Amino acid sequence: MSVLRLSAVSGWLAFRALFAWNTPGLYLTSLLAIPLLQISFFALLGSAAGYQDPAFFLIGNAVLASAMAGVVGMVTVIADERRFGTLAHIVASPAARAAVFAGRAAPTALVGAAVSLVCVLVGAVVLSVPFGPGHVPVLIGLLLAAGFACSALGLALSAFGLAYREVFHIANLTYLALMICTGANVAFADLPGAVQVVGRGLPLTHALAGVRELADGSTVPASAFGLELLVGAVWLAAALVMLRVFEHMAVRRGTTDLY
Amino acid sequence: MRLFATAWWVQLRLLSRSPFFMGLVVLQPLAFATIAFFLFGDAPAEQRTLVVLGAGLLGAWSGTLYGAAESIFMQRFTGTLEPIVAAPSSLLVTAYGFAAATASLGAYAIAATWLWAAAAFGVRLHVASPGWLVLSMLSALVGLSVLGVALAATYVLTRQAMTLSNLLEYPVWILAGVLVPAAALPDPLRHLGRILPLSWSVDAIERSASGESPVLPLLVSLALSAVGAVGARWLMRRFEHIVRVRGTLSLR
Repeated sequence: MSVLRLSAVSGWLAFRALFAWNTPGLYLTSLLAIPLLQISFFALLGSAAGYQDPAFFLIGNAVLASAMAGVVGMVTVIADERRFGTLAHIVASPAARAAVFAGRAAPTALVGAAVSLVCVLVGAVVLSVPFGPGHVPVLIGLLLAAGFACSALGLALSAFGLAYREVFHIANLTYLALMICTGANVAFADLPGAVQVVGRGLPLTHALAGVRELADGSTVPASAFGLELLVGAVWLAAALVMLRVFEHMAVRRGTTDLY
Repeated sequence: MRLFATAWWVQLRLLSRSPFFMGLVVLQPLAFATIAFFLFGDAPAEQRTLVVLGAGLLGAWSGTLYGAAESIFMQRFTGTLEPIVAAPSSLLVTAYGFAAATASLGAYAIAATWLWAAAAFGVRLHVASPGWLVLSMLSALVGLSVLGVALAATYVLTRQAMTLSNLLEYPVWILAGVLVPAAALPDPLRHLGRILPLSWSVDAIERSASGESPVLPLLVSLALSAVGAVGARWLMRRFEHIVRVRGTLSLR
């Protein structure tokens, strides 16, 4: 089976398997409800603190929503294989593991981008943020870039799941880091210098800056797309290396079927 | 009492060894407190104290929420939920032990946030009545334990426990006035939040910090917790009966 076909089939089966334990309605509700609740929480907190207007937190947390599907969703890919006892079979199979797991990044990237888009548009209507019809293609492009970068980061983190049992906390920690370091809830310029350095290497930072420019009515610089895609490409490359390294470690230690 | 203590101790030790759970109750409050400190900027000491205490309670609720769901979910996943339900010992007391353990871990959240605030932001707690503060915090943990048992009863009934947990985190934070001041909420939400014991405990905590009398909100919190305990008992018995009739305990 070609690598591309393997990735595509793996991605489709993984997405379909979601609904073996979760109903589509509950899955979609949790995908949309949680980001909208998070937006409400930070908008209220920001208002109480007198920091920025609600639209700032809307845009920040709406774009951040792609991280939930991309980062957390991807980490659970390998973690769930271990939990259900199928990880050892995948590792032992002749199929390219990188292609199998990388294929699952596509659905999470698309779902993440879609969730972000819905949150941005719903919030924009409620808060009267001036996104025009002409802005939507640019917005979609930025969110797809963010979704890709988040999924690449998630794939890199999921590699830990090949060798270690406890990886869910890594996903949570990463999500919290994205919440702070990307300018989602605190203006990027207000962050300490060291945090900004970290933030520039993380997904979402550049795409979020682009979305904020769009909301302000400015032209989105091409660098917003370029840098976000570059960050995603670097994390994807790191993921492919990490998958190899941790798979080798897991096989040597014999830990693929431990839960 | 022995059953309660055993369930509490076993669950406390299990959760203390879970990196995911400890990350939830320790790191998540630190992250939210960090964001809040940036947002509030050079706020007075009283406000910064409330941020520390609010972020700690935020972690305590997350711990209770996921701890209650996690305990039942893991029992179901490992196939031990059936023996627990079938055992002659009280499922309700066991559930209270589990819930008290998760609420106890809220102490980690509060302590960690306090240390982080002091180290990273130079925050010194400004509390007028430390004794009342401790009692108010304890009332919050009692209220969380009762809510945890009510949730655990629901999780006995449904397999979608973890997904439902995700949906309950932010609403309780918002309605109870944890970190987000209740005064910032629209009136309907503020009134709705008053049915939660935690919102009255938060009120008592704020009064303890500022030097006002926390007695009334403290008593209301405990009274609501007592009412909640009666409701949790009914829920647990009702759902236990339902799953026995349906035979769904072993389903993952």
